[in-house]
Amino acid sequence: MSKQESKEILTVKKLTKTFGGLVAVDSVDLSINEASITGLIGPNGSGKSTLFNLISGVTTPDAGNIRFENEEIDSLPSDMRFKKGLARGFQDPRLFFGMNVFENMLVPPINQKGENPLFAIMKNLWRQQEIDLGGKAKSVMEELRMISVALNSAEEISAGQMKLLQLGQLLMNSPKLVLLDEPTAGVAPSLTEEIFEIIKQMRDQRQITFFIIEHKLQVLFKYVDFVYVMHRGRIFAGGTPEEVVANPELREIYL
Amino acid sequence: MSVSELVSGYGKLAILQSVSFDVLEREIVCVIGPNGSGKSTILKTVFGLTNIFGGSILFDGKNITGISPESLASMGISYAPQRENVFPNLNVIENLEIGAVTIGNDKLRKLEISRVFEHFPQLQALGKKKAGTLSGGERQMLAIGRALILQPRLLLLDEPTASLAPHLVADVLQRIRKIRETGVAVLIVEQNAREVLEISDRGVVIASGKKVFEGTPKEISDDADTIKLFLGAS
Repeated sequence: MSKQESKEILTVKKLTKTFGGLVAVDSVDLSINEASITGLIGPNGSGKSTLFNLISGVTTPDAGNIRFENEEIDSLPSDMRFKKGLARGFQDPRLFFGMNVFENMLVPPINQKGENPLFAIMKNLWRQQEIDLGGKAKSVMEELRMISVALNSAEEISAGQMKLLQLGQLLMNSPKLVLLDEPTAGVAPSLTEEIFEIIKQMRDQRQITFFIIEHKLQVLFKYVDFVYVMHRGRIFAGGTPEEVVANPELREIYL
Repeated sequence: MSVSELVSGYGKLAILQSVSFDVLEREIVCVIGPNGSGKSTILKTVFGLTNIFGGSILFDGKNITGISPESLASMGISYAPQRENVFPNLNVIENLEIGAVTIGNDKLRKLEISRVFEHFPQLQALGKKKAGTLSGGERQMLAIGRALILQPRLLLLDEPTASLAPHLVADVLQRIRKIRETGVAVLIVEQNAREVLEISDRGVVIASGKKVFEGTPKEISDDADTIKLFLGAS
């Protein structure tokens, strides 16, 4: 795994998590370079989502450690990790079902002035920020083809659109590292490619790092710099898409 | 099954705008289209889960428009939803038993469950694991497995290959083909369009609640509008 040249934004060492007798994540070592797009692939049940849960702080590891921007974050709860710039999407989107799509888009941005009870009564302090966020939400929804359902309640949209809304929410902030768990499952083929284009743009223009679980390898491999393969809780292989595809063992377990 | 001029939706909102198509015996028909076009609504409407404002659904010559899901299940229609399709606090076997709850005889129930394991051997190995701890793909197989328990004659599947690893996508689709060979007709909604077209006899393309194209897999993948609307280049 030759990735020494550029700066690492995330480093995971000996990370382990067991559920009862099952070792879901087994002594995993990996690192993610800043402003890279890294893929995580592997058979169903190999521990990919659990690894994301550990990195994002949704689940506590049994052993090992996680460094984000050279700082140990093991003891931080997930909301603190989010504030530090580590954002994460779920395979099954967690939305605010009592709100409409547009409102859902406006919740995630951090440091909203109007959230401060003292400022809340002084409209002039936060008015411009709200307008800016609204405008940003609109342009993200346009890119994700969600404008026609902007005023629908979040539970009245299709499962694929829920997935897109969650991605939109993540794009509303300017995170440093985004973990995406199958961002295009349930998304139309023509839109799948566009979503990866958006991801690439955000990396190129805003230096955001992406770590992505995805089964649509034809699309994924076009966009990633590096791929890790998980199998039975372990990192089974890592390399460029070309190196990974050439690995005969991978064919056996996954392709 | 024959669906004609179906208008349906949720609350007062109509999603489907006069959709008609047939599913013949032992046929695999896929429904494809952009996000939010109404594909899942078609399955939910057939299974009695939406408000129907117009049109009719015939199954085996009988009018089943507006019949409750439990009656449809006993008539031989099974449905595997896209989301929240397993009971997370029950283990795999219990989930299958729930699907078999209308089978009074214990032995028969066990037999049906073992038949599901023949279709999905992976599930047998997971038997005592809670469904909530299964991976996305394993849950998907469990949901299809449960839909098979009552030996349906028409199987409604909502994105059965979403979040499956590549080798499993082909695998699950081949199993669906095998399930068809046992005499089951399948109506399947998919985003993995190119893959599902390979096992389908016919496909229906939906956009904004309307049928915009219907044809053989080849006709669909050659149709310029469908490519532009949904499939994309490549």
